[in-house]
Amino acid sequence: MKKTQKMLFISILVAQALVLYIVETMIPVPFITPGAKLGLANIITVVSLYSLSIADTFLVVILRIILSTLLVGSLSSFFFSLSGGILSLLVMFILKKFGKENVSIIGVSVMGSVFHNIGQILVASITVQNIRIIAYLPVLMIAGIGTGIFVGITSKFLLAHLKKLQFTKIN
Amino acid sequence: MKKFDIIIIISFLLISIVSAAWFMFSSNKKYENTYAEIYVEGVLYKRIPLTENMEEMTIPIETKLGKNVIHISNGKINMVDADCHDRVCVKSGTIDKVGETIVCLPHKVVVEIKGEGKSETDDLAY
Repeated sequence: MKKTQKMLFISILVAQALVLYIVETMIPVPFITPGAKLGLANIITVVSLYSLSIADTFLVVILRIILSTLLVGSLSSFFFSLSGGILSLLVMFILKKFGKENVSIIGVSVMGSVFHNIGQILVASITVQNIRIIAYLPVLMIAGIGTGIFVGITSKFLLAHLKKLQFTKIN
Repeated sequence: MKKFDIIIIISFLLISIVSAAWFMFSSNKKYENTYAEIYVEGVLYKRIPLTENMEEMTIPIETKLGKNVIHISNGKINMVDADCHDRVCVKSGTIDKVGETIVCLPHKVVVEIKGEGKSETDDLAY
């Protein structure tokens, strides 16, 4: 991938993630537990992980979080997105690297979704200085498994189409 | 779906079901006295004893971060109003069991039900 191609590809991914993030805020939360979300922007994180290097994926995630905070978020939502986003990216990267042939994109994205929730709950309990709110985690984890499977399947379809671009290398 | 996928999904399911059951079990005990404790930025703001025939009360909390209104009646607590942008705390409904919480993250307000005294399940065990 040439430098310009890579830059463009990253910008397109960030733009797509932003659109998904904003669309998601318009969807009413289907779960009773506060904070449960579909995590649509995670589709782009997973796709970047499979088509770009880890440094570039990190860039995609950080850019998406900063821009989404400027567009629809607040300062507190920035820290939640940041903690969840970085933790889930790290866990997905480690799982993909060491799982190799034993793990598919679905397992990677389930891991990412669940750890996204864990990261956010951790920051939330630090913000309000109350460990009790970890009680929300079991329900959020089950929700995370569901959204993770959905995100994994969606990313698989998206990657199949991205393969048709000559410069992308799906790993 | 590959080997690790199944392992990941099943282990997360098990962890969440076991911990959910544990949280449910620990909140189902009966206590002699229960309290509603309101924390603002990690500091205890108000402690209200909960009884079945208590008066209805509305507690407004105003901090530099924003405003919340808590309503208590018959040992049931809910957040009736908040001026934050997502109002997750208002949507999270009513709590009445020990261990349950209502959290308003943007305003750093936590309402928690705590129990004190011997629980009935302990009495049964003896």
